[in-house]
Amino acid sequence: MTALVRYVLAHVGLSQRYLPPTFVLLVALAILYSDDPGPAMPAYVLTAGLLVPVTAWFAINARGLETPEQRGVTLVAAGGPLRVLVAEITACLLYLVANVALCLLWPQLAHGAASAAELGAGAVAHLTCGLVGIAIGLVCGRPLVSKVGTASLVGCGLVLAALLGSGVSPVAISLRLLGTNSATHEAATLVGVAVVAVAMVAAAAGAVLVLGRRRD
Amino acid sequence: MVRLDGVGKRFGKGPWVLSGVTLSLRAGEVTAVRGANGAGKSTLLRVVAGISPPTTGRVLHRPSVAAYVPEQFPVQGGMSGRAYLRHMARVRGMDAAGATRRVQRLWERFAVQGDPDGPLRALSKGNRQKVALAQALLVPPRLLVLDEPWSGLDAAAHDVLAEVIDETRQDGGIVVVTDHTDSLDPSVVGAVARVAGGRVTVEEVSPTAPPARHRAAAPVVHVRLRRTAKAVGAWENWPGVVIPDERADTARPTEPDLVDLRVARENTDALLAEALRRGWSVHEVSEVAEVSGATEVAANHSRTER
Repeated sequence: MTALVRYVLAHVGLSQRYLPPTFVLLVALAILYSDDPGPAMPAYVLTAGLLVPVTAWFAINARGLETPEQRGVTLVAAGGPLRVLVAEITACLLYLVANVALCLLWPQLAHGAASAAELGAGAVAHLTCGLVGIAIGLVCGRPLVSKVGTASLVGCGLVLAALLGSGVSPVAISLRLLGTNSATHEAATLVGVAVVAVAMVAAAAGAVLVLGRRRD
Repeated sequence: MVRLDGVGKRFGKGPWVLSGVTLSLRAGEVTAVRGANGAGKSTLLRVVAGISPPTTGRVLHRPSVAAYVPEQFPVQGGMSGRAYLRHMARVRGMDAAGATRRVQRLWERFAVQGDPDGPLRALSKGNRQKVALAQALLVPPRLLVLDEPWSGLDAAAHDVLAEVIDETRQDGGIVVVTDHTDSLDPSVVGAVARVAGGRVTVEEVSPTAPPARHRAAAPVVHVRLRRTAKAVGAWENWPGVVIPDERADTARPTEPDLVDLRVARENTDALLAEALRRGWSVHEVSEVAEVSGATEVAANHSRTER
């Protein structure tokens, strides 16, 4: 499984398709933290929100980069679609963790404003947003949506819904807690929506396996 | 043995590409899949390989070490051919050093032309096809599924492919290969599956020739070849060739670059011509006494029998 994860990361890495969203994130960090933005958590809102499209983009590419012929070869070599999917999701999670570290360490090194509790809450909120992004990437990538144009439209729609679905979306709830500087007081809610985000990834993976296999 | 039990396949609400396919693929046997364009040969192979799940029916007893070679091998991304094969070898459970050695050997055996460290997608169609074949042989497959593997291959690679098919068969692997242009050596085919109108009918054929190495018979010629820098290919499965057991030759230590072969007289000329074409140098040709040669070959044969 480790070898398969390494292959997925190397393949996406060498394709350089992860670069545009990663650059956007870096530019946002640079602009946001060029001056001291004050309290740590409200500043996290922008980077956590950005992680939704960034990880969705990565997930679409992790699953969609191979040609169908290469895909067939990989499925047979790896021993089945489940193993390939698990490896791809693992690769997405590693990319997410690296991005979360970047989003939290950058302000910490630049201004050092956040307490340990705030860092923890920030980490959970960022992870929640990234997980929802991965779930979006899974359902609007191959094989469920195979056309790039359709994938972009569906992806944008789902990302917007995740960001704006106040009271329903784990992303919107996490961002509200960060924005109102109350994430550390409402830890139960914060962790609860993180669990929902994990379940969303699992559900998306199940949909990909069950519905996607019908098209193979 | 892989068994397809009432397999049917359709994509979405489209027409049935395959229906009611019941088929056994036996270990140590080459099954040639034949049929017109669009008859469903590739779909059948993808179902056998486990890439496409059947819509109805089941595929039973598929070995865990399977390999698939598509008809074409277009690729995306910037990964190099060597890196791709190494990743696939690691995915198949090889360690780093073993993977590197194996990839190097296969790259040379298929004589892939092009920079192994350049992007795989920059290789020509035929060379990418060789990489796809090499990928399938990183570990000896118990099930080898080949979809029109000859497309785009040069003559030398045709020979290597024939060797590979025969090796896998002799190792007890299952080989399934679509054979649109009759490039498959008929002497190795054990069964022919004809695909037409979504149905598959199987004809058993006993291979006209026993496995190649069994055919060596007196008179026999001893051929010694020297490996050069550009030499490619192996000789184990060349018609009529017996490679003497190394232990039997300890009285006369050989250089590592020299390969000793015993070959039936009738196959000598073809072997030498092929050796020169593959970049080997002929070091020595000598006659082996007719009667003793025959017994020696027979003895070797019984030792190499699996």
